[in-house]
Amino acid sequence: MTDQRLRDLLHEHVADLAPTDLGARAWQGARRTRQRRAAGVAGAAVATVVVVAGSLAIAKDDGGSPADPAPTPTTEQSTVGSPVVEPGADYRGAKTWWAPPSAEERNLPILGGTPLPDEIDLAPGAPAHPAGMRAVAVFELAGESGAPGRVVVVGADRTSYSLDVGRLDPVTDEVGNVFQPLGEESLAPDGRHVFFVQKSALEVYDLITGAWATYETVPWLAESARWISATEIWAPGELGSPDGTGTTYDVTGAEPTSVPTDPRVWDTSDEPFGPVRESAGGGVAQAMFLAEPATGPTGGPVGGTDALAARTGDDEVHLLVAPGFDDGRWKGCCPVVGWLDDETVLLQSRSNESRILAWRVGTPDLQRVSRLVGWEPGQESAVGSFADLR
Amino acid sequence: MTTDEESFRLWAGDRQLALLRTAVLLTGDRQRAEDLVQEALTKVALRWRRLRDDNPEAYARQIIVRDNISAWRKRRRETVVDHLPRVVVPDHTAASERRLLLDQALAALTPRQRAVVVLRFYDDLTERAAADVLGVSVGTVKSQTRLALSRLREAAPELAELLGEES
Repeated sequence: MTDQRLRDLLHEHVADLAPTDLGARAWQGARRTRQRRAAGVAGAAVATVVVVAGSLAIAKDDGGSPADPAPTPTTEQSTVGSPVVEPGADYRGAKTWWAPPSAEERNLPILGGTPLPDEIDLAPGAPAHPAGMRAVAVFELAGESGAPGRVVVVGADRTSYSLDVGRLDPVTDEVGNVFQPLGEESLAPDGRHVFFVQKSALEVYDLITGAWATYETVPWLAESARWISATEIWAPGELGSPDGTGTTYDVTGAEPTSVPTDPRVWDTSDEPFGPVRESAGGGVAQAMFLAEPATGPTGGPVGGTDALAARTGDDEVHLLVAPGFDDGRWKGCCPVVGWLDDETVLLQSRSNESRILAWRVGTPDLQRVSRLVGWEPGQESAVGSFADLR
Repeated sequence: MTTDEESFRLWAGDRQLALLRTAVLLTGDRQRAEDLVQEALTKVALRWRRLRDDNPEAYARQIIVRDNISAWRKRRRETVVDHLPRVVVPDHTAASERRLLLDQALAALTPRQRAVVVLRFYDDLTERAAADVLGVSVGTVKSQTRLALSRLREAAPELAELLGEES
């Protein structure tokens, strides 16, 4: 049986590991720590009586040993005075949760242990992407020239790599508006393939084999292409919401079998934007511009805000409202990245200090996951596409 | 009546090899594994009076798993692991060759995926218990397990053949 065989292999692997006595050293190490802490408490006694009283209370509880902190979380540092997410008034029947100003995001608690690095390094000069390394994210950084920008692959090992995209041509829409070949839907959910939009083609790079492939499309329509499975890209028959017509390309050469779906968080007159992402548990999330003013924690209506709309498998919609374009958030600041688990959705918070945040839907629990570094806001525009990070 | 130190040493002597085995599977490196276990045991020792009648081993395992993920994240830039080449192993695989194959396949996993595999298939924890150790939801454990097994098979097709054998 497969699972049993894996168990056997793991047990065999460490069966003859020689024992080492680590217990004695551990006790000695703990004793030294207690002594240091006791010295620290004694030193602080003169300055702050209240602190000493609190420490003694803890020491009594632990038989004379100051308490160790809770089990070490997967974080780099603790934060003091973390900004808070506050509930506001309901909006169209949905609960609202108001994110702190973007400038305070740096003080949010860190969520570690995700597939993303805590710093996504977009600086030029990264080593070339080695074939065989899947991506958790891909970014394109474009300047003002209209030419395709440099592309940074964030590998499954959390390291940044550069990808040579010299084969790509500049691309515009039908009326000449320049856009970037990499879109938010470009990276396949399994992180193996990434596509780049051209006028009449999709250029697909296989990160495992290092090979490029070209799929011809109806002119201008590749712009709205997206993955509908790990191997199938769908491009619509016309721009706009999918009407069922379009073409599916299977990058393995197999006959396409999947059909596109159009999941929605809710049906309102608010304007959704960016990717729609579904969780394994039936949740759906997408960013949207709120058409009506929303009422925040202080009671006053706030118009023209972005929000992340999400539900976690039931019908109750929650909005994480991201106010404050005047304090640095960009319009369209907060597209969905994907789900980390059935309750936690990742989103981009785009500003001059762009970050990836994690929101436990329907709670004030907002944490920072990654920060984008090594790029020049104002001189470069960064577009990111993410694999399924569950 | 035993002192705190004596009871701690008795417990550590009994359980440290099991914890070390888990740590070796998590890291693939004996020295790092010993460091992780040492640190975890020290933290257990600091809280011994409160933990001794509870579940000190679960606490130690949680520290080992989380510290390993945290440490990996901090040093990732210095230890870039490229996609590993596939290893061809003879049909009649010797134990040492199976170990090498498993080592290389495990190295293709993220630290969290690797932890899920070790906790579920070596330590035989339930999905709920593994989720508690990692500080994630049960759904994440399920999805990470699925991804990890898929990646193990991809990294070492010969391992997949072994896993596919009927015992």
